[in-house]
Amino acid sequence: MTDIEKLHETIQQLSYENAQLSRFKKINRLMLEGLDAILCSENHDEVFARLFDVISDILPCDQILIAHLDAAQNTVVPVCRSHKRGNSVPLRYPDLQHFFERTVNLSNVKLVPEWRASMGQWLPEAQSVLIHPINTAQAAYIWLISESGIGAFSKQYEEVFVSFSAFVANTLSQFEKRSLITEKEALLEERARIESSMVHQEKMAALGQLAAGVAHELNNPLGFINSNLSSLRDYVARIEQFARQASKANSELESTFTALDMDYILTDTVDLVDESLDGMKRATDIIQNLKAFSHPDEKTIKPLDFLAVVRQALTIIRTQAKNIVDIYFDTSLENATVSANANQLAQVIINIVTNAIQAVNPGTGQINIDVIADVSHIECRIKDNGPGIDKRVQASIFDPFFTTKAVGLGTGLGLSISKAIIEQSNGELKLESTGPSGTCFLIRLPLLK
Amino acid sequence: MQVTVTRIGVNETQRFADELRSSNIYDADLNIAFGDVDAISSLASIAKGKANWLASTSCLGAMSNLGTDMGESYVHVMTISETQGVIGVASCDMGKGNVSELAESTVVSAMQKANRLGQMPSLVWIIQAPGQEEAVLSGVQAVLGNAVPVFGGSSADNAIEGKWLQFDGTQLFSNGLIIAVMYTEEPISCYFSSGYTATSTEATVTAVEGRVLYTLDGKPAGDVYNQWLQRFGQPALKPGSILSDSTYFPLGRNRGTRSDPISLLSHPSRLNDDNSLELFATLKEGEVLTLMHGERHNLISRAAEVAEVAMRTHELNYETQPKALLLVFCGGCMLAVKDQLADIQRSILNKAQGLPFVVAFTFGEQGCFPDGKSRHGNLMISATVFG
Repeated sequence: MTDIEKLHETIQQLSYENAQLSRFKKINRLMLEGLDAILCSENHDEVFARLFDVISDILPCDQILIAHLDAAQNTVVPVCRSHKRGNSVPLRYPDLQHFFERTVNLSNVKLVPEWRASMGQWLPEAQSVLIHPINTAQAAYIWLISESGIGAFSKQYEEVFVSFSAFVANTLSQFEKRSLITEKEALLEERARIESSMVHQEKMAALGQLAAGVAHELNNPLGFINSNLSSLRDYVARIEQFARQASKANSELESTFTALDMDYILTDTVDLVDESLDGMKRATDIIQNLKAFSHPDEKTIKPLDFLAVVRQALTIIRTQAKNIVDIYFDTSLENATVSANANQLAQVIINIVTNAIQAVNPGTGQINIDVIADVSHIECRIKDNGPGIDKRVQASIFDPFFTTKAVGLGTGLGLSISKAIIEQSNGELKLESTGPSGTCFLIRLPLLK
Repeated sequence: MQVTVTRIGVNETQRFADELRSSNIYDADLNIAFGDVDAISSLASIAKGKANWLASTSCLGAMSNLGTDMGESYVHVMTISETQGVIGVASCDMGKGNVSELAESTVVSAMQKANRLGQMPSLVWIIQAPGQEEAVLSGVQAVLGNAVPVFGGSSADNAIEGKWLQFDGTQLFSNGLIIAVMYTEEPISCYFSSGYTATSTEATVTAVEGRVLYTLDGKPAGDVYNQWLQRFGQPALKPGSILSDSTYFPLGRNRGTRSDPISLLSHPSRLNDDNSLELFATLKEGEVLTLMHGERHNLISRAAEVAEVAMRTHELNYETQPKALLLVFCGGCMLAVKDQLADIQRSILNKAQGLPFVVAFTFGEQGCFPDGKSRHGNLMISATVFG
């Protein structure tokens, strides 16, 4: 009997110790499953909802509610709850301040005079409520765990829950810190990009001013050179007529005409003047482009249907592209209203598509134009199946006067002017991708509603 | 939290008063004190109005790390001070109404004094006159629920003559209830044990009035109990006090499951002339009583073992060294081994390893069972570890 009695007592002691130490098992399980819940959640609301499931599974309770301190309003507002019962009326923070400072285990809320008018509105069926603060790096919350019976939460329950809450607060703080670091890094990257863009824009603005100045200064001399050359061509024609008639009327003049090779000189003079006039036309075109680059026409910007502009531009281009390249235009949109200058926007489309036509192999070339829209922007992608843009020149393609074409075949202003036109409408033109399978340019413009 | 234990003799009144004054007792958050009837009477006359007291008479005096009373009158005072938290104490005279309702209002009053109305305490410690412990517990649990640990003991005198006393710092009661609700940051651990073994002998209560058991399986309870004792080689008991003789054969009621039993012990205290049995616990008709059995040497060693379990669990749970031990030892058990109290004290001293402790010998023990619910039982030992 003695041994049995001793054994019985030892079993009792071990059972007691096991029950006492089971809190560590519970805490470990809560932490493990709580960490999983936090890791696979995107935001605080999702974290809390998942944590509710974890808590309910390990620490039985009727309801769990999380309330947040709104420091600006000086109120406390429920932000998440495990059940829908009860309202979520904001309560004055000064009345609840002590709950943000220490754990309160209410075993019988009926004995707390202010309960019904206070948190009793959130948890109308509760008799026992365990309240514990959670302060993260960025926010202050209180948990409320409730039961409909009296004295539901033992000291051991409270200790387990407090340990778990400390873990949750710490883990959430770590995540908030990490999130802040990521946000900070993204902001720094954005800042660097803006700075770089500002330097580029300043460069472009200076260049635009220079171009405008040069264009203005060259315009007048080019004007009178053009006028003089036109007059000269007229004069040369009359001189030629006179010279030929005179040589035919006088044999001495005829032999001199032949000796001096006047027939060639007269013909070549006309050709020289014509070539000079062609050069003048090109110079005038450049001057016009420089003007367009420095001052995209702001006054004619108005709402228009981007899709209509694309269709209009493609009508013009298809004549040029006939038998060289297939052009496909695809969109599920019915219209896409943006604010821009219609002619300039068409010029942008024509510039990019023209470049694409020149890049692809005749006969097998293909160009796809897709237009999509999100809530705030339209996105137009112009893709070709050409050989792509050489890595060494990618950074320069939007610079004025940069061209890979032979001298005389391009001014090097097409993409820079296009970019200036799109940016004039608060949009973005960029090289989205390029490689051996082709190149894609993206035009992004704000959508008007 | 600071916990000290003081043992002061009461025979010289002036010296007793001087010693009380010179210690930090009057500055305490709570004094828990035990001694014989003379000791507690003297304490009440001198310490009235000074500090919160949870003082009670203990059978044949009390025991502490400072000594065991052997017929002399001492008070053994456990002084709790500098608590991180609050302790609220309230009391009532149980003769002035429905005991359960009185217990409810007293525990609410204690919570109000702690300024923690409605809040769950870490521990409720109770001292009360014997007789209505179940009603007291029921009242406390009506307010706080079943999850709160309630520990304590029923006041005792030396010979079950109703001379027991309770003192709360302001009033001396003979039928009093004193409740302390403890809201402390410092951890408190408790363990409650009986250690008796269930035999296969059992019967159903067929007639009972409160704590007087008339029949078991329809037969006179005294006859049935005597037959059971004889089956285990014990002599039949004669009418009169049987407190000491029945110590090794109490009656058990299972509060657990068949596979995992939790026995709530009832100690037969008197065999009446009408063959009824008086007990220190209230029974109900239909309850099955099992004859329990315990051994003398286990009674002697059990207090130290209970203390060890409580201390070990406390250290494991909270990674902190306990500051003091409060033991409640069944007075009936103590009477059965009173010639070996020195051995009991020595074994506790050995396990406590320098920790101050106080042992009260009571006529009823309250504590928390492994299922988490607190109950009143007999022949039990409890240990409360502070700090």
